[in-house]
Amino acid sequence: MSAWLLLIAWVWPLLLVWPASGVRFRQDWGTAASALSPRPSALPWVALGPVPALAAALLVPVGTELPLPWLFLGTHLALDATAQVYLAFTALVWLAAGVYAALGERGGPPEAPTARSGRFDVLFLLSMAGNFWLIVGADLFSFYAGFAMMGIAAYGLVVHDGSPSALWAGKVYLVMALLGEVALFAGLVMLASETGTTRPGTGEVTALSNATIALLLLGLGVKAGLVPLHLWLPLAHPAAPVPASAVLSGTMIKVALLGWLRFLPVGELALPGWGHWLALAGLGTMTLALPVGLVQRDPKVILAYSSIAKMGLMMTVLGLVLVEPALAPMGVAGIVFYAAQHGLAKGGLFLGVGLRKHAGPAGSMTQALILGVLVFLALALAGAPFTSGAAAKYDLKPVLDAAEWTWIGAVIAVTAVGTVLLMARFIWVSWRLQPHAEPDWLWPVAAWGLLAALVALFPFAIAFGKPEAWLSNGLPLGIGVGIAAAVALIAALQPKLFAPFVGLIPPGDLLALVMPLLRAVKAMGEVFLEDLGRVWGRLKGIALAAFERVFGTPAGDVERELRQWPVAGALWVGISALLLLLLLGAQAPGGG
Amino acid sequence: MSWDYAALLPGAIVLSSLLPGVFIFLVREESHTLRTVLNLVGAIAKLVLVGLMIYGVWLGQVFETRIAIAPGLTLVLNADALSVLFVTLSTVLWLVTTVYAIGYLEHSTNRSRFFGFFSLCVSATVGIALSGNLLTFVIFYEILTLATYPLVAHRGTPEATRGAKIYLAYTLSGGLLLLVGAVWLRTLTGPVDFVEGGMLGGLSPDLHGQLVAIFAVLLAGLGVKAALVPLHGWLPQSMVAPAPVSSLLHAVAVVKAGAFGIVRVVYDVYGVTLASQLGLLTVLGVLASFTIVYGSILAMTQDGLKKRLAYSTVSQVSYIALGTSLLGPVATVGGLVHLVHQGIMKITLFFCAGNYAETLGVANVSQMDGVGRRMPLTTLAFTVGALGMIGIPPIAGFVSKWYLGLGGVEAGQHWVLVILATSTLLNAGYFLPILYRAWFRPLPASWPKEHHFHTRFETMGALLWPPVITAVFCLLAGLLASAPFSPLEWARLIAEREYGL
Repeated sequence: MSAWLLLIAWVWPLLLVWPASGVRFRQDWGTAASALSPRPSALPWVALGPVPALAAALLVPVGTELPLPWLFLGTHLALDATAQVYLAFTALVWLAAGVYAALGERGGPPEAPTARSGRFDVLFLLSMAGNFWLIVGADLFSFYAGFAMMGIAAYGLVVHDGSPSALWAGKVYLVMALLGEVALFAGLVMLASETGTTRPGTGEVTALSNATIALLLLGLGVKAGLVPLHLWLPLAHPAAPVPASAVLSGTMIKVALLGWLRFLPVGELALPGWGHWLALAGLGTMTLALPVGLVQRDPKVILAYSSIAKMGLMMTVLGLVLVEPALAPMGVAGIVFYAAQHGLAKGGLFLGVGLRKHAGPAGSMTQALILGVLVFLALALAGAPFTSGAAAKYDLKPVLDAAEWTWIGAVIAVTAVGTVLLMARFIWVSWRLQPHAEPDWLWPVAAWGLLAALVALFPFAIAFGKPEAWLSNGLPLGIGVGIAAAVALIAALQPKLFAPFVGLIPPGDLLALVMPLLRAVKAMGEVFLEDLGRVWGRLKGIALAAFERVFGTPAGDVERELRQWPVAGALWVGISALLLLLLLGAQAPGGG
Repeated sequence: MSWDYAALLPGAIVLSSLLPGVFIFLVREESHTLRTVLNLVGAIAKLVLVGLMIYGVWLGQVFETRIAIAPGLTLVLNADALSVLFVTLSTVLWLVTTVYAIGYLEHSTNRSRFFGFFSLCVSATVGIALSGNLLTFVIFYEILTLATYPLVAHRGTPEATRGAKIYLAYTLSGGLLLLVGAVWLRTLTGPVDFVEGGMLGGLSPDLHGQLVAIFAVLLAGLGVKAALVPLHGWLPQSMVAPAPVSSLLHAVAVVKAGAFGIVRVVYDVYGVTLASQLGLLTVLGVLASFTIVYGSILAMTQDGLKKRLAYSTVSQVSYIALGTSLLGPVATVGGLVHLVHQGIMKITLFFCAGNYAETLGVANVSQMDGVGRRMPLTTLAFTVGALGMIGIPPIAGFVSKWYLGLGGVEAGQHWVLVILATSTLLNAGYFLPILYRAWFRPLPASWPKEHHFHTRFETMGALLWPPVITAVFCLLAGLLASAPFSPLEWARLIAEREYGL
């Protein structure tokens, strides 16, 4: 019975779409200008969306399967251990974000750019449904369908406020997401052809061709923020409204790892070439994201770069697991828990930025509390001892230690320091934000508090009996905090010293280099197309002139008469009658 | 008893729209109710008959009507699995389009003429679907040309007349080529019956040169209606026709007749193995791929909504030809299922385009800002159709795309994935901006030519529900693709029979 929760988990948000939209199909259209009501539905539908998914994560036992062969191209819903963890943290982040969206974001006149609208709620629920579907679907159709639904609906979340920067971010996001989806489609088609199954990971392992692996890495790499496919991420995550940023960074980008764990032969075949490549790409991603993130002004941009860096770390670990399949049991669990920890903490941080901006006036108790929790979440993200970050990272250590690259531990330690600095920068920037208080933030703050509490309790779930896990990662943290304190001190004494660095690199970093190139290609293409168009136009002109000569002459008398409809009609009647007679006649000799 | 019924059913299906059509010509212009009754009775009767036929064919029953029209020339109407696919599509969409057309032409003139030819057009399409030999196919193919001409020219404006003339010039030339090809083939083999697996396999290799030439002629003839580049010129021009006609031309009747003809010639005349040996599939594949990309690129440059949709049709119909050009049952399934999927998606889009034009006077993409707020249901239907065209799951278009891609890879033709990827991106390039305008841009102060129908909904019921229903079909065809009697399952049945699996 509880197996059906796997279906309800993602169908339920779809069912809520209509009540949440606030659309009135029936009204007096003579006077009403628009079907979309200025205020979304008064009931917090979007907050109810993740409830069945959360229930499924808690109640459905691992190993449950629900085959629905008639649905789509043969759907097979199932919950394995990985999917359970994913579903749990994904549902939690969506729940907190949903409460924030439903009860925190203000409704308002439709012309107000930041007003929440029925449209936002609809797209929020659609992305949510896609996200859950791809987690509980064991077949690749479910994954792809959920992935596409989530990716395309999220466009509307990114551009929600309609500002030029949001529209630009949305454009970059959509183009890259579509490129990723197309690559993923091709990769999945080839996967299905090479393995002969649409449920990879269940049959015997077949070696995938290099092209297939490359397409899968590229297709999902866009979502994961793999440098240089990350261009959309630092633009889109900050452009979206707060609850949308939380789910974009907290859950949606994690999906890429889930896809790789499912579709690549993780733990079954050794892929040294691809594994090393992915590990290096992950390290490169971290190396780029951390320094670029440090020079940002907007706290949400800093968080976006931090997400890219964290994804880089997980990609590195996944790459190492691909090199050495024996590490898989430990490595996969480590990646999944790390993804969960990061999802919860990052979702909490994004929501916290929104609360810092709006919940309570500056200097109030609420604001002090919010800042305190933000510091805690930042510490957790940076992997401070006694936090979930340290516990989650502890599980990745064996994989890093076993790597044949002995230097990798040192590199990771340096990036750990970088992460601490990035979080220090984030706290610095958040602290200096000027809140614009709005009333009624009780529920969003409560939901956010729940999320933060889960981050605090997280280590009990995975590292209860391992005291050494609690204490790990102290050295990088100490160094990082030391440097950050020194920098803060200098900045306080000599504010001008660091000013040139702030905003040195615009969000979207490499995009600034790529855009002139794209513009040049576009200009060249336009010139070429223009020439082509001119030639084509001339050819068409000649053909049309010839055509007019033949058909443009007035019709002769006979033809004109035939064209009159009584004549034409009568002819039709005649022909039809003939056909009928023939049909009847044909029966007589025995029908052939 | 059952023998009689089996021999009559195909003929009866053709007559179920032909007879009402003939009577409609005689109905006085003002007799709105009588004409509507005739239309709907025909459409529903046909639907019932087709239902009987689906069941019979599924059980393996043979339905065949044979009429000798001259010594040696036999008109054969025969229902195999492939015919049933096309017949069902035409019949269901005819019913929906009839309802739509009744609403659309509420206040226009010459309605009896319109609906008369409309019924003839559907009869011809069904005739094409049921044709059991090439001769019958050619006859109905020509009737279709003649029956659609007055529909394209219906409005009688100089523009409409011009568009219709171009249409006629193209399709008559195509018909002529088809006739030449059919006669030529007949001189080699005698009567050309459609046989699952092909009927030319046993021919001596000496004739192969001629067979290639005949294929070229037949393809040129069929390619006109299927709008293969460079024979597609008529399609955007015939956009002057009223919306229900465009819907029918694009989704069901004309372009599908061409595509269906290509499928018939490849599978049931040449046989896919022989066609592959002769290198004909490669030619078809290249032509189809080029058309897919070219049509989409042109669609991006169009501001007129109907023109954009027209070029999109040019591109999408070639998916069918692409599926046909790949050797292997999976690709066959992809091509055949797209025959249905493209039909329901494109008819949805054209209905919506008609609704925008009729209700708001919006005919261009650049006028569509905020249209989703004024016409939410129509725009919702449009969104489903457009996303389906791009191939976003779980809408029908994805199913076609998946099978085409998988079929290409299984056949060792990996370039198909490149074509599909390009087409997906281009489709996104010309559909997503429309959706962006419709849902995300603010409403304009006033619409070009707004018309209030004094209903509780955004537009007249007869205009509103047809696209909503077909959009639901698009979703169901995707979501229930693996359920019994879905288009996909039926396409699998055809592929199994064609490949003798």
